[in-house]
Amino acid sequence: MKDKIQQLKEQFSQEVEKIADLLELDKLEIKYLGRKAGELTNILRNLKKVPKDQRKEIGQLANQFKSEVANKINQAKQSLRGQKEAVVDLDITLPGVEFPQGHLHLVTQAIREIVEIFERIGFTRQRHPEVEWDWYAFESLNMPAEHPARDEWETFFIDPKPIGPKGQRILTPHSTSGDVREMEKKKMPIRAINITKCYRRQIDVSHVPMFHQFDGLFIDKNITIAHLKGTLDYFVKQFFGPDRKARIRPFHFQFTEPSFEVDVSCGLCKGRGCKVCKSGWLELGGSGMIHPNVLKAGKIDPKKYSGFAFGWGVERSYMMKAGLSIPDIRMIYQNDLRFLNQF
Amino acid sequence: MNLNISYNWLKEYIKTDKSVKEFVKEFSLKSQTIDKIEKVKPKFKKVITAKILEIKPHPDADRLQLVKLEAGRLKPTVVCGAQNIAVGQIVPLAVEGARVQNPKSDEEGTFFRVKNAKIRGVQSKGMICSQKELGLGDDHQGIMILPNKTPLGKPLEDILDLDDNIMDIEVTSNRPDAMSIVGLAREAAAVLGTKLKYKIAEPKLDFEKEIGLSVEVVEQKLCSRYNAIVMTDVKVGPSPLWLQQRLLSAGKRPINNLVDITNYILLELGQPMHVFDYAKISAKGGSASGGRDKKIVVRKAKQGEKVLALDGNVYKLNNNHLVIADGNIPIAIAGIMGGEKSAVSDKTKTIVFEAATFDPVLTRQSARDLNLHSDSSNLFEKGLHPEATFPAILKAVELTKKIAGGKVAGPLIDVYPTTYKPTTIKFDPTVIKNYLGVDIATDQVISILESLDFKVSGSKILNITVPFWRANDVKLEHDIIEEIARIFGYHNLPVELPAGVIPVEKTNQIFYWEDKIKDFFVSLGFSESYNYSMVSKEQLQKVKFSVKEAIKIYNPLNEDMEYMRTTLLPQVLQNIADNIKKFPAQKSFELSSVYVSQDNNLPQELLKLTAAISGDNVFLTAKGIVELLISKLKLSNRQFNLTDSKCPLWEKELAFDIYLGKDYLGQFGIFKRNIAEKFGIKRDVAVIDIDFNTLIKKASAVKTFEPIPEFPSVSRDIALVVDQKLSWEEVSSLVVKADKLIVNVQYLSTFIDQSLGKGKKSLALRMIFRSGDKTLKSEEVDDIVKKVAKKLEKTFEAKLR
Repeated sequence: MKDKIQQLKEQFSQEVEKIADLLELDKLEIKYLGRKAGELTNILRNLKKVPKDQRKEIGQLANQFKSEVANKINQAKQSLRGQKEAVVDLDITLPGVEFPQGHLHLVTQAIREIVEIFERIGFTRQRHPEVEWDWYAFESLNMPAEHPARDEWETFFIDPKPIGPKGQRILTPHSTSGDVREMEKKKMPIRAINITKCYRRQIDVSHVPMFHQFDGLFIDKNITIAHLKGTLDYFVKQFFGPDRKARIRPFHFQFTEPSFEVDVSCGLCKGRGCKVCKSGWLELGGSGMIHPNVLKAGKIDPKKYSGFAFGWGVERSYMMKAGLSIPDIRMIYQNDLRFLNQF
Repeated sequence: MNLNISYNWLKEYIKTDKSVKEFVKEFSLKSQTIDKIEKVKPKFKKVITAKILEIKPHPDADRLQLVKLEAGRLKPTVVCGAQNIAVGQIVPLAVEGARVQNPKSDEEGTFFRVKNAKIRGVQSKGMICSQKELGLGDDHQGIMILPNKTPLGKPLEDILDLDDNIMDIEVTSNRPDAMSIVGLAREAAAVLGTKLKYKIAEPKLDFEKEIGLSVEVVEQKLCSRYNAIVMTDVKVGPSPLWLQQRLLSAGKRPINNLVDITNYILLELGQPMHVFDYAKISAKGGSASGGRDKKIVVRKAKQGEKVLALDGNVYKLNNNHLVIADGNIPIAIAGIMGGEKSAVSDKTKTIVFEAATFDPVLTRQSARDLNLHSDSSNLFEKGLHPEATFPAILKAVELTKKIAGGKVAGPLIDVYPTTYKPTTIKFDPTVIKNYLGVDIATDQVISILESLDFKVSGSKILNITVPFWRANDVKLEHDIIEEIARIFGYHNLPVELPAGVIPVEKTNQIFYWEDKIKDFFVSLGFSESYNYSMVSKEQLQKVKFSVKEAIKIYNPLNEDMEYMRTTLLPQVLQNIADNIKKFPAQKSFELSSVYVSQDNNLPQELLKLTAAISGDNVFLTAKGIVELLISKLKLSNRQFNLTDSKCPLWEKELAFDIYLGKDYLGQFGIFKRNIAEKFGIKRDVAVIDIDFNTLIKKASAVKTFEPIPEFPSVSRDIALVVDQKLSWEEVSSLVVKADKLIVNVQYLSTFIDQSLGKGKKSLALRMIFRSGDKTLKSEEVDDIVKKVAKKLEKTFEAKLR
């Protein structure tokens, strides 16, 4: 038995010298110290069979050998690990591995935020035609042909004259053109948010011929101005921040009665009035209680149902929110990567 | 419509101690929006009043005159080029050191100092000024003429009342009644809870001698009322200072007292008026001196009839236009502008005032037709009430007596075939809560309505009579509610999130996939772009798209935006071209609609996904993205078919048509180099162009579960030396079919070296083996590898390396 241990010792010293990687070292450890069939484990297990007088000596020898093996394996482990790092010679101050960085367009980001806010109070996003009938954009919204209110929308026409019962085809100048289409689905109550490209014949530093608007439509029984105010206030707090407030002022649209202009309290001066806002409030967009003629155009009985609508520019509200001062709004649609990659 | 309103003028009609700021705040919350307040300040310095004593021609310059003036003790002579001056007039004189505005600069606030100087050899001691030079208005056509009784030698700022604020008020198009001083004062009275101090003028209308005039309204539908009156012995001259100042405060140019009266009434009452020189009106078929038979006819214009308007332009009319004619020819374009021929001049002795109501649609169409817009047409096209003409013409008579010394010379003619019946609305105040979410006491309801001049009777159910000036605007219960609510104050209403049932509606799948796929591209380093939906003919033709299928815009902004796009390609390529200098390797995409024309119907709006890649190895990058997209969306049966070489968009044999089973999904490949060059791209660009609707029709968000394989897989790598032309597809399809235990074949690398032999390449691949019912033994796998190698050798003469 003594000899066997001596022999194993020599064998181990040779083997451990040759070890070149951690995997082999693991195998070696199992070979000698493995719980099931390790060489040393076997010896210690069989100590009972050794004659009594030799048992103490051999036991000491074996245990000594065992701790020697364990030590050597540990040393080898550490040196192998150290070796690996030394070989790579890692300069940890180098920049990390570069991954491609993509960018969602500013408008997509804005739309997502707006949709998310309204979805939480039960609105569902909808989409309606961008090339639209005059009927949906004007006529059904209480604006017959030659109504002077139409001047406020600098409209692109496809047809110079009506081509059918729904008039001529136009490029929708506002997201409100989806309202009567939504009503025509005949599913009550309605909580819809229509976000669409809109088109107006204007181009300069503060106007683009194509832009995005969103239009919220809420129709149910017993809906009051208080509900509109509540919804606007909710949006303003979610979108701009909990310390901001919404306010409505009288305005006029043919499709709502009464109509309002929506203001948001200035984020800089908190409504006290400063250089940016002048009066403490910033103009956000339009809203109002849906005109009974518009409900009728959508085949909804104004005696049973009432509702409100609101809507304004996506780009404008997002720039207001982020406090982005983009000197020329046309930059949003020029797709210069130096611009797009900032967002 | 935006109006410039003097706070001082407004305060003539309401009593208030409020500062202009406080007023604006309260008014904006309850009535119309006030965008701006501007404090009136004299912009000039050292300008005094002076009387013209003598005007002589300049000895050396035809267009200049020498003007001798008297200003207190000073009697300077100045050189002046203006033509509107006459001896006896009082004018503003800027003396040496004065500060006046440079009239030639469009920029406001460019001032200069006046110096005594020689002009063409004659000493000029100062200068006489136009309104523009004084910063009082835009007029630079002539010298500002002050009223005759103005004291001389006084600083101009002491003569003019300059302690005022001008408010820029945006009056909404439904409220033409509020597009005037009195209209806004009425609103202000209701807002502030005070009384309106306005009374209709009541001049004496009796006359000694009648000067004959008859009025015939042929088009009674288009001219619902026509008031006219003849006045005589008028003295034409500059208006008194107060009147000039009123006009200036609104940005209007004083002309002479009679024209100024009509403009003043337009500003104060919102009723356009006109004044004709009686002497220049012809009798029927006769001449201007025709006497008793002088006639005004409101009729349609004859085709081709022309009129020289007051703006100096000749307008050619047709029978859609309405005119005011005398016995022979048009003397005004109804509701839009008067004619030069019948205009009042210095010599006018007898005049005719007109106050009429013209049809809004007609006025709007004519103004647009002739491209001639005036303060008058802007008001008429919003719909004025015929009841409004009478107070206006009475005011004109009163003012003419007062400031032009005229007297009435005939009856007040009133052609008004319809009888006005006020609108009444029955209103139950208990409905208020349904609209506002709060009750308002009936007493308060009545007092609000009365403050806006509605007449209210009844106690439980109210009978509300609408004042005539609101007849077009207030028709329904809703309209009454609005009046009550805004004066009560919208800010005083409760704030409440609506309760009720949330409609059950699934999110539209399109939006779900739009988000997913945009995120997919962004995660791979793409930048999302948004381009205009409008493109030029040239852009479509560059990528060989037919203009015929595109919808054409009837009134495009310019040629660059004439068509609705039928493809995203030209703009996505343009985006690459625009950025390529700074970003040689870039990836961008757009996901937007294209518009496919349909006869007599709206176009189809189809979503397209177009991506472009520049840089290195673009083809395989594009292919990898398409493959990954297809795998992400769990699309099955995908096939890449080599694109037909006739397709003009792609480089030959460098593009694929993508199919999902039988459904065409789109294309990808290297975009035709000579087309890319037209965009200014000189290197290879790979493009992916996909029908988004097909993509999402096939896409699946359904979660499926397949059990994790029970037995481990084994892999073996081999490298083959094969002919360089042999494709990966040929090799891999052979290998994968070689044995049922081969579950996958992966490409590792290609390597070309002379040592391999001419025309040869080394192709490394990995085979994955797995069995469903046992752990594979090493020997089993080795046998299969040998079998595969043999097959490859036999089929492709491939040698194992």
